[in-house]
Amino acid sequence: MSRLLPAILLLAACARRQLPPALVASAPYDSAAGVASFDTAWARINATYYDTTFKGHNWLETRRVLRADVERANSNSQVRQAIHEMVGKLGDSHFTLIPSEVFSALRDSSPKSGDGVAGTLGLHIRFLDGRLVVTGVDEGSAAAAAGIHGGWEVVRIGDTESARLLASTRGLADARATRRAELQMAARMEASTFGPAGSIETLELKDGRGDVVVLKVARAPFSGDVVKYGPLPAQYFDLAHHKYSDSDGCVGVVSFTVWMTPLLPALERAMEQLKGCRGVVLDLRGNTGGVIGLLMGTAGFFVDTAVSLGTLKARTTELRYLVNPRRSNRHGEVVRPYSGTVAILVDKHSASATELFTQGMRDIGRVRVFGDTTAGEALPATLVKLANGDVFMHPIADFHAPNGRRVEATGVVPDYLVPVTRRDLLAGRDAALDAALAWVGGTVVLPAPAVTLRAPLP
Amino acid sequence: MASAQGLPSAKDLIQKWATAVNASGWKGHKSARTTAAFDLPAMGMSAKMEAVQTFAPAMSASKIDIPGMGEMRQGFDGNVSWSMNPMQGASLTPKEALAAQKEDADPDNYSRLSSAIVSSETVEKANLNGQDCYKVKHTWKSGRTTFDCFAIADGMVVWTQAKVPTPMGELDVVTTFSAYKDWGGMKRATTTTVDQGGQQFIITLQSWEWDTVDPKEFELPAEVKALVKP
Repeated sequence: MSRLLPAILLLAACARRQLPPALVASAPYDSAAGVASFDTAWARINATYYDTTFKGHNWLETRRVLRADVERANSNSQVRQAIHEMVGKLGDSHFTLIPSEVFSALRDSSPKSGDGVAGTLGLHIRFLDGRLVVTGVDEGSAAAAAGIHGGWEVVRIGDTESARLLASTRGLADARATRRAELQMAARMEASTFGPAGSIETLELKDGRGDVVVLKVARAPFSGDVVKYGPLPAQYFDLAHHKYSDSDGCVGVVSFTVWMTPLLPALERAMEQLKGCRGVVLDLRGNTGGVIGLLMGTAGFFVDTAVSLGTLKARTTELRYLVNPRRSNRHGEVVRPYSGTVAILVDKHSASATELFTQGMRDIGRVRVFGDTTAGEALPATLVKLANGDVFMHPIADFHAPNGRRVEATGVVPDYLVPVTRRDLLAGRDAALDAALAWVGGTVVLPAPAVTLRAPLP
Repeated sequence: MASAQGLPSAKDLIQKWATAVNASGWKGHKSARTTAAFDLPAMGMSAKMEAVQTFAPAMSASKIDIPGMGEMRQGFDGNVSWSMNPMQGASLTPKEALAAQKEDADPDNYSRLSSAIVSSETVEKANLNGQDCYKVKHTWKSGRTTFDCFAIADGMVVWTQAKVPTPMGELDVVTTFSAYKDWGGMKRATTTTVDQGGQQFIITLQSWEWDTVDPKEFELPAEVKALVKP
């Protein structure tokens, strides 16, 4: 076990929660620490990056040129710029630098696990048609009580302004960089919905008619788990499940926010409620990843054989992420994996471990996928704390799905493409969920009108 | 005795090592318990580790408790080999990995005089982190090969290299040993650093006890019991 532990604990996660730079005080610059930080980042990539050609770049020369910049630097931001330029040459996802100031601010502001002080507004936010839009309001949440509706445009939450975030995406080099910036922008705005329970936040939104609505909303206690993972900021885990019943039985919907260790016990409890249903929808929209080892245990709830969900390919190692079929529960009872129909819902903000899981489950023929093409940010990564206090995440392996293809860069293209639209949201319709429910449920009567499935993409 | 290439023979290196560390010291005991710190420095994670084993019959169990992540457990009760962790749930060890696990479990392996090793030969003089050593290739009954490097300065094993079979695939593992000292009458490395697939973890031995292990410590958890067919 100990030998496999590092592979199980690898991350496949995109940054979910960061503070806007304006909230962060600049740290004093230490030139020796700056150079040491650059050296460590370069050396880690040099020693572990899965492509030993470094995408055709002369890695030693890259070091020589950029290190000279770092030696002349007089601020941490210049060191970070050099590191960003270095990793930009490789173009992969999962090169993330969390500045020490941001890291400290996040650590200091992070509610402690289990003490009941974490709070949330209960809003889900995505980038849609050039703006940040509310795509979901949690049932019974503070946002729901305040009358906030899906489809409303987010102008500002506290000090986090959409306009300022949107400005940061202008002039980006390519579509992938733009897509990544959009994902991070929405994640940053959604992060601002979290904070201490009871804290009051000012929200400026535009409703369906374009009228500005300003609300002061108190964060309600977060019902899930606040998880601390290594040097990462607090991760907010929550799993919700719903059971839709009709005369023929039921279908279930399970959603969870992030791949962290409370997942398996929570999923076990949910599936105990849904085991008699003829179909289950796993709603992984907005799930930006987490601990990659959880793919194996999670798939085991739905798959009865130890098949591979994909292969991690590092320089000297290839590891298959094998499903561990769930044949016993926490009470020591013999159980069987769920054998009903399963659909997975994804969107542009489904990333990393979510993408690896979805592609793997589809390749082994266990699920159909509905929604929108995923982020294409899907590499196993690890972390290192640098001498200047920054935390550097870097990929150490490539990942190939069971059919041999990579998910990195391309993302998972759903079997049934049902993109979210603002019009649907304003009408209170969730077309992707409706489509998935209709497919898994057959004759189930849904609260929303039936939808016509579109042809799968080639 | 020197080999044809001027290298010392594997037999001499192993004999000196086995004597120096009192490799047969376990034979006067029935069981051992160790505690250690388990660190994944890159991830900023530290965990407590505890391992217990009996020698006849050979049984083992260990747990690593990572704050915020939960307990990673594994065990072998003489018949059933299992693991359980918050990422994968409970599982039984596949037959193909079980054979290697059983071979590894022999306490005599520490001496390198174990009957599981069918041949050993010195292959080269090597250097790791500035330390010169003689690299010895071992061929095991199961057919696998591993390498030890015996320090020229004091004869201690300073690193090993092996391809380790696991249920997920074969791992290329380099393990370095340092800070040898007396633990329960045998000389052991206090710090063991394992590098594999671009990742590193460090085990720092904290305590060693003989004959304090209760057979109940090898009982299968309920989740594992349910997996074992009657």
